[in-house]
Amino acid sequence: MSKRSPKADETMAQALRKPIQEETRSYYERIRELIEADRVEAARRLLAEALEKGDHDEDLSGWQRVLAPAKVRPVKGTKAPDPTLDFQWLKDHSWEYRGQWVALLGGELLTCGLTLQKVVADLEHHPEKDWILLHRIH
Amino acid sequence: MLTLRGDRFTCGRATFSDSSPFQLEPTAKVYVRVKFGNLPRTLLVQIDTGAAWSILAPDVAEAIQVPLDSGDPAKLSTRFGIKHGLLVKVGFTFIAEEGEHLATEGTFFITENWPEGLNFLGYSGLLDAVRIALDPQANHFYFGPGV
Repeated sequence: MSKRSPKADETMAQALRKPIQEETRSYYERIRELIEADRVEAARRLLAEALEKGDHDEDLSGWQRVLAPAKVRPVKGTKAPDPTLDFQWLKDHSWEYRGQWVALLGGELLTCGLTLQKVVADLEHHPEKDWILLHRIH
Repeated sequence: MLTLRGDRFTCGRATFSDSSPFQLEPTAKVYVRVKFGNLPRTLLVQIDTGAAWSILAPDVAEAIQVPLDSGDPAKLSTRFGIKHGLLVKVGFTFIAEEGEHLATEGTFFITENWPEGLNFLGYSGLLDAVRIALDPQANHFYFGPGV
């Protein structure tokens, strides 16, 4: 077995000795960077750390809101009708209405238009209030 | 509804479309009906568990009057390149044909210069709080609140 020279050991020790850099960026900026890199769990951990330490004067309430899990709750109500006929209409007719919004109900086209605003306005007095499907065909 | 070891797993079921109505993306995806905010109509959204964030088209955001002044600015990489926009909480409801609907408030990215009507439900701040299951043979989409 060969012996490692004292010089080699010293060199390795020096290479591992990295200066500790003090973090100068704000929590707000660091969290933003993680969010923009899609590193959401890391952003949540850093936010939790910032809130726990509390030794800063940054307003992180916006990131608290953005990073909070979604609120979900079941809601009783009228069951929706099966949309299969509307989906079939889209398969059969999408190419005729490219670039337009369409409004469908029971596989029938109710109206169409270039903007969502126009289609919503067309349907303002339609008796069906719940289950009309609006879709923009690209 | 679906159960897991005797406990309720999901609360509602809907039919999904797996053939893309979008010419932009011809491969099969999962599209479900939802209702946004106070808009008394349904819209199709794509379930995209591979996306970090959900995206709401600007014309839909305008129609449901999303309060953009409450949003936080961010710059995200999207399928249409890097976009500047806002991260905002938006309320919507998964529509059930069987069982109960699921009212949700999740985080959406809203940016100008985005195709009209193109909405995605992504993982963070939205699907990570929802139980989902697919029956691809029947085109059934099951959903419920996460634990």
